[in-house]
Amino acid sequence: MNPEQKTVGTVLQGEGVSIALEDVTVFYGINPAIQNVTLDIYSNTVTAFIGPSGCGKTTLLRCINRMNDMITTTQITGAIRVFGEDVRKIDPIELRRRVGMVFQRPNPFPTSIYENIALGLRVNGFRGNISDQVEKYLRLVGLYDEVKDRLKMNALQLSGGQQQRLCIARTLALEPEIILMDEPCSSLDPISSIRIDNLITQLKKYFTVVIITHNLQQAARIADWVAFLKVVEAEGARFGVLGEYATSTDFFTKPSSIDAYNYINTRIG
Amino acid sequence: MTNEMPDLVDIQVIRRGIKSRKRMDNIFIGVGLGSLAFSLGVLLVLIGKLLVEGGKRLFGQGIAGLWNFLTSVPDSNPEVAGIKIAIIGSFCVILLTAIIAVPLGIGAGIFLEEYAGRGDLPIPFPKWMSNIIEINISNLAGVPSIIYGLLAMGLFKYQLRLGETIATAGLTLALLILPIIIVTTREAIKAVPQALREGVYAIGASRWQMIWDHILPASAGGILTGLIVGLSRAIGEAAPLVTIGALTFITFPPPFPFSPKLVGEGLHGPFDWLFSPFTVMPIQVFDWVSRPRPEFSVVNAGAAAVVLVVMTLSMNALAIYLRIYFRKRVKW
Repeated sequence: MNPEQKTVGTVLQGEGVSIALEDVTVFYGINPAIQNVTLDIYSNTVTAFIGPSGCGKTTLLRCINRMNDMITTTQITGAIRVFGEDVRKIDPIELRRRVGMVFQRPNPFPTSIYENIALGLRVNGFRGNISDQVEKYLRLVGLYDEVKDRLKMNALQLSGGQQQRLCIARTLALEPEIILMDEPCSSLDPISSIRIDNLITQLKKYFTVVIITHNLQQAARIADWVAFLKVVEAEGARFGVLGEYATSTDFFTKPSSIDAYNYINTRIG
Repeated sequence: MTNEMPDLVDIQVIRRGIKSRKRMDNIFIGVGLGSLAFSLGVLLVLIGKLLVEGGKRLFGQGIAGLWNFLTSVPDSNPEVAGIKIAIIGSFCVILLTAIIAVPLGIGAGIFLEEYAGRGDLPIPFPKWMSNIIEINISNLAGVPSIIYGLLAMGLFKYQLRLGETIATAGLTLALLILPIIIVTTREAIKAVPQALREGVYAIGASRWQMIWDHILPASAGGILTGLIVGLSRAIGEAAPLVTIGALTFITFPPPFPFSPKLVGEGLHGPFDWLFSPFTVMPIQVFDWVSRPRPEFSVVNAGAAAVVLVVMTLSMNALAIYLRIYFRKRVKW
């Protein structure tokens, strides 16, 4: 099989819906985390989830690739569809293969830089030239020139920003169709952060990106759509709900709710 | 303010308070040092006594005498009796113990830590079941070893008709150290950060790929330490083997493990060693100690005990070395 062919599926054009959330409610045990979220995430766009701490952004993101399966007390109601299929009916391994994830704290594997990327390819049975693929994606995240002489070095000796870019390269190298990013720049310096922003903007040709961020400038810079989540208190419980979902321009120039307006202007936490 | 809280601002009061707290500190230092000196002292006296008594046999006649002691078979003459059979017996029993206990223990530990109670197994294995098993395994680690001996006598010796053989001994000691291995395997796996697991899942790895590629290498140091600590406990156990009736006086070694079948040998070919009678180091010591002649009960027993202590200490040293080696290699 020609490895180049594999990318064809990712070059989706137009306004297709990649991820559809329908009335999604998540409980951890008896504590609601987020309730009644309905939104469609469009293909080849960057969608930002923003909102105060504790509003369930991460919970929602982790439901999309079923990372919450690892927490046994999680209960999810409503429907989450990726490419039109209910995620609960897709095998989690296949789902995570097609929906990549970058975590808040860089978590490279404690192996060499090369292995960090090669391993993902290998566990998925990639038959092409692994070192070409490693080089290609290290270049894409702007890491290749920095590390080309020490690919055998342990990835944990890289700086935080380099580690995070390595984690992004590791995710991209598998050529998933959707990439979920949970505050990828929260532990990065501004320069590394800008590089990642630029990268995301280039990437949406090939991928659908969902990104959580606390940085409103970043959201305004890179996002096409913004989902604003807010915290509500009801019956003694605090949980998140979807406050507003709009294109980035609309959201930042004319937010339709007072909560969103206050959040943009940082009137609440 | 000053008048309301003299205790907190009067420098004399503060100094007195500090002084009395320091006195408390010093008392505790004394108590701690005392306990340490007592327990270490007893140990040192014990080992010193062993070395003095056993040394007559081990080092009395130079290197030839030591070699003679290590390579001679038991004899009724204490001058020529040696521990060859016991060393070979210990080696065979520990080999079988390791063959049985290592894969079972690591496998069970991995299952309990990574699979049990997750709700996505092909067979139902709810959380409460794994909790019950967890509690019971921890309890099993504290069961007196003589109980395992009784179990082995009933089950392996009489029900399975294995007799007083290496097979019975190996199975017994494997049961004895299984809980230790399972518990330490679980602890080692638990120490692997959750972020690493999530990262591996996120690249679409299956659970087994995650365990094989990441969890096991990352926890290898801890697991190996547990294995060696378990095995060095097994090498020093006498009680369960006495219960199953291991021989104390035997002058021929078991066949070398997995050696090919020779004409006229036993019924099991390469597995003949499993069905041979045996003795092990602690039983050899036990046997000599219970004899009336001091050449046996003091000198030879002391010498054999020194060899046994050296064996277990070197296994523990290996465990410490491996732990440091793997900690240096794996870091996050």
